[in-house]
Amino acid sequence: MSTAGKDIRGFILEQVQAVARQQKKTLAPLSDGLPLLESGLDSLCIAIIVANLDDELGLDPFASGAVDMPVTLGDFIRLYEHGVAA
Amino acid sequence: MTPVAFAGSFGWLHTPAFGTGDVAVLICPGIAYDALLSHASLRLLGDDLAEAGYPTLRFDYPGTADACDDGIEEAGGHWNAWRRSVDAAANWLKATTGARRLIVCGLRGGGMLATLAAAARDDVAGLVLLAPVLRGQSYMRQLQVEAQIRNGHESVPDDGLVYREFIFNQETVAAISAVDLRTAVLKAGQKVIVYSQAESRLTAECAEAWSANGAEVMCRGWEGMEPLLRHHIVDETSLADFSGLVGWLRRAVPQTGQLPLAPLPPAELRPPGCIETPMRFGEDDRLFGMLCRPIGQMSETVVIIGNGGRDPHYGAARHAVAFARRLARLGIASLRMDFAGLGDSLGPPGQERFLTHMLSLDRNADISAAVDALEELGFRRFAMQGLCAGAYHGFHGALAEPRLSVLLLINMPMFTLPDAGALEYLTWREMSPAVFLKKLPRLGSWISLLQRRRDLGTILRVQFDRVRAQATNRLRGLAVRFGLAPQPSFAQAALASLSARGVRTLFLFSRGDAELDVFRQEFNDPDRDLSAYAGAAWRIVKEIDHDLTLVAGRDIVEAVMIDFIESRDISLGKVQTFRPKAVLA
Repeated sequence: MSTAGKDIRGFILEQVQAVARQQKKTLAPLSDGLPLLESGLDSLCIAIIVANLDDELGLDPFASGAVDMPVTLGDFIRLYEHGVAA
Repeated sequence: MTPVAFAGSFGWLHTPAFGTGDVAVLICPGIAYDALLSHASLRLLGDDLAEAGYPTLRFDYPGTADACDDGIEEAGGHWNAWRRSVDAAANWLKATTGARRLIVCGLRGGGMLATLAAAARDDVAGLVLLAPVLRGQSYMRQLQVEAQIRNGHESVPDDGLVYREFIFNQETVAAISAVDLRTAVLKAGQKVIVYSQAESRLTAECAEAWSANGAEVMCRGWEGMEPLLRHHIVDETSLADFSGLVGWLRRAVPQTGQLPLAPLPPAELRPPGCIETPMRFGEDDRLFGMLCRPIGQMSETVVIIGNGGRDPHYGAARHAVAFARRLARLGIASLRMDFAGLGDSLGPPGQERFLTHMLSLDRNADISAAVDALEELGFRRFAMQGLCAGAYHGFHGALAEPRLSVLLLINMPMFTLPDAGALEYLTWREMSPAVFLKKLPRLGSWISLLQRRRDLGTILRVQFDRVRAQATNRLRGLAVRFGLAPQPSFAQAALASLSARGVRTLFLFSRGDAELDVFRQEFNDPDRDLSAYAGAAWRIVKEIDHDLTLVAGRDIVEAVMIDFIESRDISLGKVQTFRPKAVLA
């Protein structure tokens, strides 16, 4: 799945690693089943990633206001991939 | 640097040794968490700019840090009030220093405010942006998502946003969301430098748009600036390195003219029911605190509020400000202070460019210096409030400082420094040995350990310390049961010593925090065990989070602490028995 030529999954994983580096967080091995809040990222990191994805990809799946916070990393990626497909 | 106050805002004016000049710098701080992380580094930026010849003002927006809250309602919300305050600060800076041209420097959300000011005013010669927020819409989304995760419920944009200390109304959410700095029209000839954490499409688009209008824009990476926004919870860390920024400014907008600076009036703020004045104290006046006094009748008791973790004196989500002003309205003064090397207090000589260690550095001298300064002002009873590391330092401070008679300790993380090192201990303590053993067979855990992402030796050492502490306390319990007199632990001996001295100690915990486990290791059945220590009490307040950022929980914990203080505050004529009025778990 891509937007403007970018692979969404790959871009999200890049963002996760970049923000973890910026915030000096140690990441758990990334997998789709990994709960976001056990990934080593805290609420601020996740929120920064959401903002970066909006700025860089123009994707904001939370805009409708009716979206529950994804639980796992896989849920998070799918939320964005579905946003592109929709 | 000199404390200043204007239009309900508190600030610091950093002045060159020669006085002032034609160019002055206005620093627009970040908002909420960004402000906490960057506070000490921005102090250093002010010092470095002053040393380079630029008078520099740091200040607090209305409703942030030490500023008053008035002006927000009148302006129709936070955003408008903040924009007006930037203008007021710019005008005050020019009037006070005689400068005719300004450099506006903004961090994160302050970068938006700085850019809008640079576009609107005709006296801004330069703009310095530090990891600026470029689009308000994505920034609001960031705050909303963070609030949703932290508060556990969704904050609906149409209804405004509750985020840490702020309750943004609908207008503020809409106004921030509408900001897009790509559309900001900077003036031809304005010098702009943008420091970014990572290359981004938006930064490039802003630079292109501003350059098209004739601004001279440079983009730089984040090397040296990391401490501005990095959450280092424990270890001593250097503050940000601004040498590149100062060098750029000297070349881009050189200082001209040397003018004497007129004496500044003493700074004073008047939030409702209070008078707040900055205090410098300690050796060579290197320590700073904000004294908050009631306007009317005042108790002889004063509460010293130490740093929570390494947050500046106003505290995460301004909890120290809220508590101080509530105390003042009840007739009790307080000093919210920065320990050496945190917030606005200078580190030990030679260590001024470092944020000092959260736990290892002995703070007893700082606490005694605060008591000395307050005693000189006429206070006779001294209470100490501390959150997290502040609680640890308060407990140890009271052991060393006989004038402290009341302790209010929230989420105290430990009684003694662990053998494994504080950072490792705090990182791994929440994993019990049983959980650790259960996780080990997971392939990912082994891969992670083998790749040295996690230091196996450290984890094992933390687990060993934990098992050892539990075993020692079990043995102690057995010894008591069999009528033997066991050797008390440090925590038990220390609390006995405080109690014998008449010190009253209140331990407060948020629900499920690891701090409670540490406490229970020492006082297994707290209701029963603490009865042996006169004046000691404990409570779990289920509505609070670790660092008191949830406003509803904070109200309760403040009420509990005030009850505890007042129960012995004879000068206010209160009862002498602790009967908490607040809702407790």
